[in-house]
Amino acid sequence: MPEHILSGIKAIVAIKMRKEGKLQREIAEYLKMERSIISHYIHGRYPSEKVMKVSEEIINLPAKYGIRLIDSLSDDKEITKKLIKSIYNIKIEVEDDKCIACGKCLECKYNAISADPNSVRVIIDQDKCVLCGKCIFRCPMNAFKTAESTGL
Amino acid sequence: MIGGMIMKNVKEEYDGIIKISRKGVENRVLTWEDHVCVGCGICSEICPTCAIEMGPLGAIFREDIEAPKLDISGEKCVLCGMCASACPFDAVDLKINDKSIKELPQYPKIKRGISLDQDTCVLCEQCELVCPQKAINVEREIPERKTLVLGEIDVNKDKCVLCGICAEYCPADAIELVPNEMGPSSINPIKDIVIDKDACVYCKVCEKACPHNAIEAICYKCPLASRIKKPELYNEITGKTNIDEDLCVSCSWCERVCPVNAITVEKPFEGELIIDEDACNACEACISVCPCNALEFPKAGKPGEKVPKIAVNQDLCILCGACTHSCPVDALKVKRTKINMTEAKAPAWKKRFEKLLAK
Repeated sequence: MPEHILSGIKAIVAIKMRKEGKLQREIAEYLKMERSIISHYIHGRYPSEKVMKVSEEIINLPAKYGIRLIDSLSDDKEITKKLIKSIYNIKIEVEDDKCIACGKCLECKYNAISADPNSVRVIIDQDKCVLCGKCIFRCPMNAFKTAESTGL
Repeated sequence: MIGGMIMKNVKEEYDGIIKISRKGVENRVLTWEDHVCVGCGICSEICPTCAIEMGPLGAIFREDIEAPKLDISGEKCVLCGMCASACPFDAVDLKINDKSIKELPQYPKIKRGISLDQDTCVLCEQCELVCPQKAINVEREIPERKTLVLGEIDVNKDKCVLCGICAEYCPADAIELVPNEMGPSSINPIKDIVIDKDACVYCKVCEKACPHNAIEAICYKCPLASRIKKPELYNEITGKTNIDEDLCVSCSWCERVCPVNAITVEKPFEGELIIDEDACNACEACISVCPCNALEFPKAGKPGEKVPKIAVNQDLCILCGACTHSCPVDALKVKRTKINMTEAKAPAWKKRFEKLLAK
């Protein structure tokens, strides 16, 4: 079942990228999929209607909820991150005037968050961050938020 | 379940210590010690997650009940360390991977302290007498008694009638009549006369007072009642005034009584303590709580004169706020205008520290 939803999300992303003028080849490379499948998606041969309905619901959720669902669909974090970026065009930020540096977010599975040795705050390594969104919910001060990403 | 990987806080309580710890990428341990805490409540004011609740301070300090001065919720505490950073008395500490945040320069710290110039100090002991925390101990060695007081005294037992007149005159209480256990076999009321040579100053008053010329005293230091040279003696006084900085609350009482300005105290806040006369019911809670002994019941005034229910010496108050937390009727308020602290670089921390200032 999660695999089906993953396909549905991929289909939505493929169509979106096509609309943005990307070539089928580029889309296939980006999503690490076979070109023929991308071709199917673009020509309306989606996974099932039901899958597409659920997938649409997911991507229409507010980003901080949507990303957690998409993140949970696969262990391939490179793919989930790409899908999230493509759908929401976001990155995760810490609001310094809320962050008290309690260190709970440092438990990030991907080591994307570290304590700033020069101040009492944390720093996100955007390359390591897979946009799983766990830190947003973990933070007791609500200091993490999704923000518009500038450039992929 | 959100997160999933986060280790839960572990709370331990023993011997007046509360310890909250969390293991993970960083191992964090928060420790609060009741015997160091003065109950000022600054930690509870600054805590961003409202994890600290003050106990019934008035009753605790009056020793009506035995309870810790505060409690820290193991569920609410996120181990950020703001309480440790703000505590002026170092009653709370946060260690991140075994390192105290007090040693980490990026963490702000409320500054206060005390310094003593030993060269200026004249070892008068005034500071030791006033210190409300018993944090000062003056060790002084004065020249031996015989360098100042030296002489001889002798009672001629043949002439002495044991009348005790000498003892009544003695200004040094150095003469004692030893009572006799009277009985038919030993009929005298007084057994002997004893002179305490450690107390006698050889002033010769007894010699003059004795109606029987039974006492002879000689003072070697002032055979002609000449004066003793003071400077010579003063140079011989040695010693050291010790201040226990862990006990000191920087109330400045010692600084204010020091006759030679040898002590300098740095206070944690500027501002004033405001007392609401109408609200105060003179319950004494604040007086018993105050670590600075800065509050008192005013002495009665002249008839008809209006005397406040409670009085504060603003000079001695450190604006810690312990009294405000103890007051059952909220009659006290600290109005802090400035915090004496190192810079809080992080904006969230800065905002929380500013909460300690008057609104």
